[in-house]
Formats: sequence, structure tokens, C-alpha cells
Amino acid sequence: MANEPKSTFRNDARAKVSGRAQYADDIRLPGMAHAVPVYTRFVRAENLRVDASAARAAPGVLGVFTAADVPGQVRFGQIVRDYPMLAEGTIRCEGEVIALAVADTRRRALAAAALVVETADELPPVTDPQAALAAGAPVVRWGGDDNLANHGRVRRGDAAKVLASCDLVVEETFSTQAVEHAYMEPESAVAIPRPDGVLEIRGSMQHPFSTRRFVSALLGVSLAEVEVVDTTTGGGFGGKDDTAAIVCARAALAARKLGRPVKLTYDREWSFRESYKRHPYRLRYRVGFSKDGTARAAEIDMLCDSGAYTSVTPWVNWRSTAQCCGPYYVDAVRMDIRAAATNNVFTGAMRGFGAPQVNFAVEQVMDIAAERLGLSPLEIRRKNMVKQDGLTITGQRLDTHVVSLGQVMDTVVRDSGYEAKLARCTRGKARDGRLYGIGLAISYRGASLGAEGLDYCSAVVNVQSDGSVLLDAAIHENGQGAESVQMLILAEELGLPVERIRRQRSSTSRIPDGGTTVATRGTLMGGGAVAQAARELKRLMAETLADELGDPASIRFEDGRVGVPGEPSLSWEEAIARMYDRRVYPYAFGTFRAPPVSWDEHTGQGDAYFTYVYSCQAAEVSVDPATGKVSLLALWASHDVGRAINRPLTLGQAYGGMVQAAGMALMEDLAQAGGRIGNRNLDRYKIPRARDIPEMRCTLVENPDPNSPTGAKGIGEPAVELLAPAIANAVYNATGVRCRDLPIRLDPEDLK
Amino acid sequence: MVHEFQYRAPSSRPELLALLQEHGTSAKVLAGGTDLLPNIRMGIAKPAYVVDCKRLPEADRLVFSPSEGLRIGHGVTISAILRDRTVRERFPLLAEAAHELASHQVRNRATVAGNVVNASPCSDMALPLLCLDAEAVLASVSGERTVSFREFFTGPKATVMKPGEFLAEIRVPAAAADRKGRYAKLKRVKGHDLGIVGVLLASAPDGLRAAVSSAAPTPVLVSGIDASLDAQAVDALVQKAIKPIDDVRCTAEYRRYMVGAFIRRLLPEVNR
Ligand SMILES: Cc1cc2nc3c(=O)[nH]c(=O)nc-3n(C[C@H](O)[C@H](O)[C@H](O)COP(=O)(O)OP(=O)(O)OC[C@H]3O[C@@H](n4cnc5c(N)ncnc54)[C@H](O)[C@@H]3O)c2cc1C
Repeated sequence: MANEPKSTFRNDARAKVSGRAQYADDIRLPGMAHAVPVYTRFVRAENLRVDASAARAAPGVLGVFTAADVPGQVRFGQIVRDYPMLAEGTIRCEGEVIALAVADTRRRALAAAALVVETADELPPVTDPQAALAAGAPVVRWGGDDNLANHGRVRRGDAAKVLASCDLVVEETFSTQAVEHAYMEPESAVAIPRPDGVLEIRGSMQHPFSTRRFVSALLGVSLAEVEVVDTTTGGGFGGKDDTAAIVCARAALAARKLGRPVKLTYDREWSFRESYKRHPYRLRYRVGFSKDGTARAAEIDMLCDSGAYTSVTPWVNWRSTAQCCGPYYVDAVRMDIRAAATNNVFTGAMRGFGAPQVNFAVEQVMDIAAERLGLSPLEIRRKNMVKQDGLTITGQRLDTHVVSLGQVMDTVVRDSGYEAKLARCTRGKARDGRLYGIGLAISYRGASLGAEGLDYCSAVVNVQSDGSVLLDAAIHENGQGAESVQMLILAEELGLPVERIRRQRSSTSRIPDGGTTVATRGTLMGGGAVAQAARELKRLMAETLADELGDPASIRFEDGRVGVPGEPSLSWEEAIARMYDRRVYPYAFGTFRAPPVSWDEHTGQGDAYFTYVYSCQAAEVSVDPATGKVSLLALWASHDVGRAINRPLTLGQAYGGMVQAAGMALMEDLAQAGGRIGNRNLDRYKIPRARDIPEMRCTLVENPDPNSPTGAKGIGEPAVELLAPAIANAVYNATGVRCRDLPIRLDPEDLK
Repeated sequence: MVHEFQYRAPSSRPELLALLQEHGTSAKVLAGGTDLLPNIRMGIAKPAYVVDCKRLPEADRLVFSPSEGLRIGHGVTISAILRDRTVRERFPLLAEAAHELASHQVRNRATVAGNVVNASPCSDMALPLLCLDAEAVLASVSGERTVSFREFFTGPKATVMKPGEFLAEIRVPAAAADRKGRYAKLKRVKGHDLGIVGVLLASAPDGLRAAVSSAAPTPVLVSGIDASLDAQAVDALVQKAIKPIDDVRCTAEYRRYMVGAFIRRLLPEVNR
């Protein structure tokens, strides 16, 4: 592209570092009331009765609302409408809210909440997914006659038969844990009943349009009667969908009932207690290899805990299905994944979305097989990885983009000095009192939603009469820098400095639903829509001004000028003034529709995603044999992101993802027992701190994707999905002990 | 924070003691507040009166004299311990433990007195105080008494202090100056964290001492250990004195194992 793109920009940096960014909890309005949730005492119970009379009589109380006060649907969900926004009849997990106490101050609302009386018939909770699926288990799934929340499958060839003829069959069982998103800002919402009858929501959330669906369901009003206005959001990582939306819906209920603005802000304990977690998986792999290392067949069974409600479990499982063999081609695959409903807090979307669990298994199986066959971990990966114009296990031919798995792996191998370091691994024999190891993992990740859902997004470019530009797009800023990327893309397309552009504050009433800000689709889909809108605007301007500037097809928008190269041109401002003179609005609406995908859910075959991100990460560790503690010495990554539009933010995503993955690998563990979470705050639920993280290096690989309007693919989720197995492989190479369960815990007795 | 309380900030010791006498168990002393405030917030402590002790003129006194030893006022913070040159040079065990306690921010507020009155089994400061034969000076309207830290802790979050009593000062005898030792604390993360288990090994005139945190209802001291024993024998002695439990942070078995691992690691350093 002719315009030298500016690649470092952040529209919200100044506001955030100076503390002026306005988060939902910062909003204060005249007459605003404060709501707080009242939690159930139970994990599983029936015949719930809630007596709020004492609470209603408490000082300052404006209302105490229960399911009985809901004008619309109490239950809602993204796939199955099973989640009770206020508990009704049956309690299925400790995160259920039985009432909402609203008072003139938060303190008085909290005091009133303590006066709500709850009675119910308590039942023993079902908390083990295996037991939940056993015949005769008590049915805890809403509306079901068993606890099977989902079943996904792949059927490719006759895996059992091929396995029987393999030279080596690796049979391994792995488990991964429930993980909390631990976004910096807990859920918060302000609901404002407006004089025009519309209910306005400002809140911390991942997806304004998803929130709007929850609010309109609870209130029983149309989508047009709810306006969700973009509000600064302090992180989501996939975790600010259902629960954040429900928090908004509850604030909306109170606001509607009371006819005044209501704020509902969560503290960390409430957020831990109620919000969904990453799905814990149990994975059993049987993978057959021939002597030369070719993976020939796989039989795979996965079981995951969906918790008390469905949320997006089937979609999460679907990604685990399509990517069940990691980035490898295997000729014959039989894969089944089952999700069990239990009385644990529900599980849902989290950055990585069904891939980290699978990669944790696959990337260890590869190292195990390599060792048993006397091959290097690199050789076995090169032999089996998906290749240019080759097939995936779902039968998709990868011929529309550059397949760069080998390139990213070579990059990390080079950057990290992997081969020389591999030879120095201690394999259980401590050197100077320490054990040392290096390990790596590779992955591919289908970008965007794939066959999970309708995938399109829109953007609006509205040029003002002075040439300044307003941009709107249907991808939401979660703190990842989405708006900045959209602005950079527009600046580059129009040949303008980014300072000429303002990202307008979006709302659900101003732009069509562009799908959710998930699945590493923000830059790809949201940025793609911006590029399409810009191209639409340029087409309109070129055609309108052709009589003055010449052949519309030759007109360029560069360096603040509009014209055919070598011919007289107009400044951007002059061109815009001409547009207004001619009564043609320099306004464009652009849509990007993802190329078609396909899926057969009975065989698990089809073109799952329209493009893939290729990744490799490596970790170098030191293990203290006396304590079993693992220290990270260095981390490396390489990702083919298509194109890095905002380089520092792209790297920031990579590094942040690695830190999050290191937490999953080594420390994060929800202490769940009997359906109750024992560590509901960050003093007991440990996430990595700066001192736990070593130097990191990420080298970006850029093979622009022909199907992406900007060439960009994405980085958000690839960054988090493969470090845990890289660390596990490094730990094995250091200690000789294979860690099949997350988080990794070493027993010093095994290191003697 | 729903719990409401009355806040008092007396400016003299008699005034403070009178308040504590008057309100008994319904009053709590506020020092740095890094234990008290979280406990109030979580509903574990519900004092009707919170009596701030930091306005007393002698609160921050930290002085050493050969006759009286080291006197640590009730308001002396962990950071003040770390900053004090005499402490660093003559009582390095205190500095060593102080350095492991929480983060800069917390250390700037947290006091040594608050740490021991709070009497958590994982208290970092209890270990050097035990190894240094330190004493607590307890004051009340009826006078003062002095209790050795060996008798001070009676259970998890429990001490010999009676309602109305105030920890006025901590005294470390001059004879304990220059005792050397090494501290090892196992945490879940590398940054600041409460200990999973902690071991302080120090040499004293009567032999080796081992002080252990998070491995029994109170911090534990084993003294008079024959300095010529090997790590295994020292570990055997210590194992008899501790009584660890399983909790969210780890199992009793791992704690016992780690006490041994730390003794094996620290012993050569202390004997050097
Ligand atoms: C984030 C965080 C990390 C922490 N990490 C550690 C750690 O690593 N190691 C560790 O040991 N502790 C740790 N703590 C606990 C705490 O910081 C220490 O115990 C601290 O020393 C307490 O001192 P304080 O002055 O804040 O006590 P306060 O909270 O003011 O008081 C604690 C208790 O002692 C009573 N009290 C205080 N002074 C007196 C007195 N003079 N007379 C009578 N009663 C008194 C109070 O009434 C209260 O019951 C941590 C706390 C936090 C919040």
C-alpha cells in the first residue's frame, strides 16, 4: 500500500493513564439508586421461597425485586434460554441471585440484602461431570431428562481399525482446570430510564448487542426500546458476556420499576462467585503412529463440565472438535466430546475457547510419541503439521492463504536456540542443584466464528464538512485497542493522518449488530468492515468528482490529497467541500461478510473456518528439585497474524496472552468443593505477577490473508492457547516427569 | 462495608488504656490496619470501637541501647525495621523476615506489633522474635506485664493478651544482638504472598534454633539444637514439634516435606 501506515496509536491511552477514563462505576447521576445482589445460601435446592418483607422495610430501601417482579422472561441464554437472571423455583449453583436489593445508597442496599430470608429444600449437589453422566444420576440440567448438555463428534475414516495396525499407539489422559478470567474491572452497570421511554444502559461488557438481548428479554420490551451505549470496559477475555449482560439486565429491571437511574457494581467476590469460568476438560487420547512418525489415527474422548447452565458450551466444544488433533493432519479420527451439566458455577467463553485444553493434550502427545520413536520434537511436528494446499482433519483444503506453521516454528526454534538447549536439558539429573528444560508447542486456530454462527460486521464513515471524519463500527472496545486499530485502518485507506479521525461513541441504536467481540474477530471483522466502508466512500467520491479529477478507477487517496497520479489533484478538504457543494454526502456504510464455511455435525467434517492463524511458543524453565517449584526463565512466541496493523498492541496481545497462559499452566486453580468456590478473591486465587514472568520475545510473521480486507487475521486467542503444553514439555525435559494435569504441580519426591 | 463503628484516636497512653478498659472486647486497636480492616470488611471482626494507637507520642520509637536492648514501639512499621541501620547490622534476623513480609505498600503500613497480636500461624515477624528471646510489654489500666514470645501465642489468632490489654512495646534483649541466621519462605507466587510454610534457622548461645511458621496452630520454636547434628537429625527434631494441616494453599504432607527441604538447604548456610 502506498501510504506508509502509522502503526503505533492508542486513542484511549491518555485518558486511561491519567485516570480520566470513565468506567461504569464512575458514573454518578442525580437520583441514582444502588442495587446489590442477594445470593442463595444453597448449591442445589428446590422449592425456593424468598421473603423480602424485612428487607423492604429497612431504611433507605426503594425496592427488593425477585423473579416474581420480572415483566419479561426470567430465563435467557445465548444458545439455550436456561439461565435465571433472578432465581426461580430451583437453585442449581451457588452463584444464583435470589433477589436484588435497591436503596438510596449502596451501604443501605447491602444492609437490606442481609435481611432477605430464603428457604428451600436442600439437595445434595452433583459436582463431578463423570458422575453426572452416569445412569441414574439426579438430573440437574434445566429442562432436560439427563445431564448431557452437549455432544460433538468427528468421524473420519475407521480410526479403530487403523489404530490396530499402527507401530506405536500413545495412550494418555489429561485434565485441565476451571479458570477465572480475572479481568481488572468487575462487572458494573448503570441503567437509565429515559424520558423518551427508552431504557439506556451503560456498563462494563464485551458485547453491547448481546447485552441488549438479555435486557430486552428480562424487561419484555423490543430491542429498539433498549439502547446500550459504549462505556469504557476494563477487560473481558471472553468473560464479560452472559454474566456482565445479566448484571446490566438486573440494573435495568430496577431502573424500570423505580423510574430512576440504578447502578449495580460488583465486588471481586461476587464476580468470582457468579461469573462463568473456563471449561475444565478431561481428555483421553489414543494416537497411532507409524515408525517414521506419521500420525495415522486418533481416538479421542473428552468430557467437560458445563456447570449449572449452558451458556456457550456447544460452541466451545465445537472448536475443540474441529481442532481436536491440534495443527496436524491425521487420516482417521474418531472424536467424541460430551459436556455434563453439574451444580458447579457455569462455564462459558474464555479467551482460547476450547483450544487451550485440546492443545495441552495434543502437544504433549507429540513429544511423548517423538521420544518413543527416537525422533526430535521438531521432526515429528514437521512430518504431521498441516501444509500448504493440504487437508485438515475436517477435510478442509488449506489453499486460500499462506500456511505458515513451519515458518513460525522455525522462527521460534531460531530465536530461542531450541535445538542446542534441548540437548542441555537435565531430564531429572540436577545440575548445580537445579533442573533445566526447554519445551515448545505449535497450534493453528480457525479465525473468527467459523461454522459457529453468522459472521458479518459493519462500519460507518461519516465525513464532516471541514474534512474531519467520524467513524463507527460494530466491534466493541474491551481494552484491547479495537478502536485504535479501526482508526489506523481508516487513516491508511483514506490517506489521512489518524488525528483527523474520531471514533464516535457507539451505541446499539446507531449501527447494526455486528456480532460479538469474540473469537479473535475484532481486527479481522471489525477492521475489515472499516476497510470496506472506506472503499465504499472512496468509490462514491471518485465517481462524484470524476468530471474534475478524471478516471474514477485511477483516483488515489494519498497524503491528504485526492486525484489521479500526475494529474491536478485536490486536497482532502477541497474534495470534501466539493462533495457537499454537489449535495452528495461523503458518508458510507460498509459491510464485511466472512467467506462461506460449512459443517456437518454428524461427521464433524467441513470447511470449519475461512482462515487460520499459525503459532509457535516455547518456554525455558528451571525447577527446584527440593520444592518442586517451576520458574520460567524465558518465553518465546511467533504468530502469523496476517498483518500487524498496530504493532505494539499486537505484541501486547501476544505477551498478555502468554502471561495468562503461564497462570493457567502453573498457578491458577479454582478451589471448588461441593459446588462452592473456596478462593473467591485474588489473595487466594493466584494469577501471575510481574516477578513470575521472565523476558518474553514475540516475532510476528506477516503473510497477509487474501480473504481479509486488511490482510490482518488476529492474535487475541492464539496467544493464550499453547504456552501451557510448551511449559509442560519443558518441565518434562527438565525433570523427566510428565505433567498431565493443570495446573502443573510437581511432587518433590518424584524429583529425587 | 456495612459494619459501622466508632473511631477513637487518643493521644496519650492513659487515655488509650482507659478506652480499652471501658470497652473491653468490643474495642479493637488499629495500628496499620492491614489485618484489621480486611477482617472488618469480611465480617470476621465487628468491633464497636476502633481505637487508633498511632497518635501516641512513643508509637514510632525504635531505639537500641546496650542496657535496654532494642525497643520496638507499637507503631513501628515493617518498613521502619528495614530502614533502620542498627536493626540491619545488629539484628539481621528481623530484617531478613521483614523483607519477606508482603509488599512495599503493605510494609509501609503494617506494624511489627500488629503482626504478632494478629497471631497468624503464618506470621513472618514471630519467627525472628522467637529466635531472639524477645518479649512483649503488655499494658493495661492496672499496670504492665512482660511476656516472652515463647508464651505469647496460644493458638491460631489467639494470644495471652486479655481484654483491655495493649501491646505497648516489643523488647529484644541486647544479649541477642548479632545472632545470625537464614530465612526461607515458600510462596505460591514470586511476588508478595502469605507463606505456605516458613523456616528460620539461627544460631544462639544454647545451640541452633529453628522457628517455623504455617506448620502448627502457632509459630513454633525449637531451641537448644546441637549444632553438630546433620540436617536429617535437625529435621527429625523439628518434625516432632510441628503439626501442619491441609488447607487451600497446600497439604499437610507437603508442608512437612518442605520444612525438611528448607532445613537441608539452610543448615549449611547457617553453619558456615
Ligand atoms: C496484601 C497483604 C499481604 C500480607 N502479607 C503478609 C505476609 O507476607 N506476612 C505476614 O506475616 N503478614 C502479612 N499480612 C498481614 C499483615 O499485613 C501483618 O500481619 C501486619 O504486620 C499487621 O500489622 P498492622 O499494623 O497492619 O495491624 P492491624 O491490622 O492494625 O492490627 C492487627 C491486629 O492486632 C491488633 N493490634 C494491633 N496493634 C496492637 C497493639 N499495639 N496492641 C493490641 N492490639 C493491637 C488489632 O486490633 C488487630 O486485631 C498481609 C496483609 C495484607 C493485606
